[in-house]
Amino acid sequence: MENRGETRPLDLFSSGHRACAGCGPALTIQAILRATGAKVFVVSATGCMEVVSSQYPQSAWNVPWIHSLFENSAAVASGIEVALKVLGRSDDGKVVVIAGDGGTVDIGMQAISGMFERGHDICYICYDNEAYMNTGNQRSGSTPYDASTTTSPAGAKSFGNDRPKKDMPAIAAAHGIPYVATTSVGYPKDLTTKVQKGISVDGPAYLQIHAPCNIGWGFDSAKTIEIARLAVETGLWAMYEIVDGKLTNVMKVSKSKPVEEYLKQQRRFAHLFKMPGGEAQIKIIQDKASANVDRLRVIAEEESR
Amino acid sequence: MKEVRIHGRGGQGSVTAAELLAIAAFEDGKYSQAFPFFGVERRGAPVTAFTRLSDKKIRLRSQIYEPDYVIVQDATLITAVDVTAGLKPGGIVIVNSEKSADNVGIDQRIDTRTIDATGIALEIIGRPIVNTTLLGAFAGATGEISIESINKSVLARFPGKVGELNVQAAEKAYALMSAPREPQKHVKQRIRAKRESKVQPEGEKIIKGVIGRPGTSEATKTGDWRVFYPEFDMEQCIRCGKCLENCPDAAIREHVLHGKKAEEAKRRAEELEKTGKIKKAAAKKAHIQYQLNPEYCKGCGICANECPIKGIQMKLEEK
Repeated sequence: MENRGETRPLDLFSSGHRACAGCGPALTIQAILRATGAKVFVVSATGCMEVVSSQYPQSAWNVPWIHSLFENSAAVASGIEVALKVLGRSDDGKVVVIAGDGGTVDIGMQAISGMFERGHDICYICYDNEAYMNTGNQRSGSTPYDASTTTSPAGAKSFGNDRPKKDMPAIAAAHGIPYVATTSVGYPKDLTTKVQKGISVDGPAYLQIHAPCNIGWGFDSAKTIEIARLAVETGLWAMYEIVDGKLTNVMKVSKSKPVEEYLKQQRRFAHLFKMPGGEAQIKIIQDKASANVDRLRVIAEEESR
Repeated sequence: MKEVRIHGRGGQGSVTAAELLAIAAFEDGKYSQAFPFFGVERRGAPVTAFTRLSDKKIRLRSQIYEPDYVIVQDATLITAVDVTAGLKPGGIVIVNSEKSADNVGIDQRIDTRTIDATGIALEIIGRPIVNTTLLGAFAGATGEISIESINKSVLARFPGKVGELNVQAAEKAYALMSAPREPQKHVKQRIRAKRESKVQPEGEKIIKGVIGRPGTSEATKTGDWRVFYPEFDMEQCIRCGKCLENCPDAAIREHVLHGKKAEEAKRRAEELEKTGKIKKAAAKKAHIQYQLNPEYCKGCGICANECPIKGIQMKLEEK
């Protein structure tokens, strides 16, 4: 694995992993590790990225890596962080959790809450592909309103998932942790900056990275980045930081695009364009996006004053 | 009872093919079973599905280890997976390939039939989805099932235009495969499974329960998953690095040319710039080359979609 005269540094998440072609989360992990460098201890919850990167007896990780269960990645990370402290080896690297949205906003919630509460020096990163994609697209707490999944299917009596997407960054911020941020795989520079801030902060940090899944969402594998950007440009995915409890550095969406542009490219929203009453549903989604855009604009303007 | 094993890649519809075949068998008045191999299937990764057909009730519930027939949806699987493992004497292997049966890399003693299902599917359906085409080929080559039942089963699953196109493709394959052919070869014995394929880098010992070394996934060449590959126009390329940054498989590399090669590249680029064929931004960085690592590229097409000058074209891989 020598670096054969190439200018690019060794990939810390190496080729040969089994993620689908055009995988958003795989791109996210590469970007995360490019930002952190090799001095990290990664803890992975069960999920797509754990499965595709560790098919026995191989590993795609070129950093120390451990997988435990869906629910306890934050607890395992807490143990590692304390052990490093006790051994006087905290300088060896930062403990980073990389987990999916299911392992974060649903199953891992109590362990995460404990980790935040105890104030461990850990950067928790959630790649958010908005459902349980490893097992074939089941709804999670992070699935957006009206998305059709196998457990929230659209049909004659349903427009798909009838609950709003859980606001996990707000829950994290409510713990009073020093750093919370949202970003997207469609904005690599923003992602890099926020990951670096997340690992340099002393104490718990929480990052949520929007990472489209072309299989589960139903779009062409070439459009992963395009879709990620559209989520931000339409206002459906907001990018901001919460530093010491204060909402800041919001990405202003000056001319937001209509949500249809984002929705119509994805099979999980296709029913909205076919079913009677779909238009009204799209309006509901548009209103949410517009409210998002307005809210962030106000904050951005206040900040620039 | 006849047992069929289907080798494919995630997303190629192997499991669907197994199910369609089982439903077609019902239509023919037979008993049948279809089920997939449980694993971590990802789009493009090797997958297996099974179908049993019988005139009597089927009590067996196990995986199929000794198939009568094997369908290979993608010829690149032959080097990656032991497709003929356990094949019964007189068994038939049907391979999706443009090549002749003697040249697809399967044991010469085995009765192998090839069909260019990708070609047929692209021509008739317009997409490289080959499962229904191969079912037509299966019906033609083995006579185990009627093409009418295959068609019925396909139309029930995919009503409307899509189903009709799939039926057309299946019928074409059926006609090609049921044409008279030379006497069949016969293997007297069951084909033994090869020893477990190499999953660890050379010289690396597998210790049970332990992942020996970091970064060992590089031993898995995911390049054979792809259907399309990106072709770079390095003359027009402005070296923005978007393709490198957005490759989920780290399959695009930057090489910096040195010495004579670098000078040569620069000179050529300057000439092109003078004639107005390329932009200055491209000419200035002519010594930097982006190269695809075909061993790992899965052909997702993100690089082509993100390239700001549209300098990357996705081309159909020849298999």
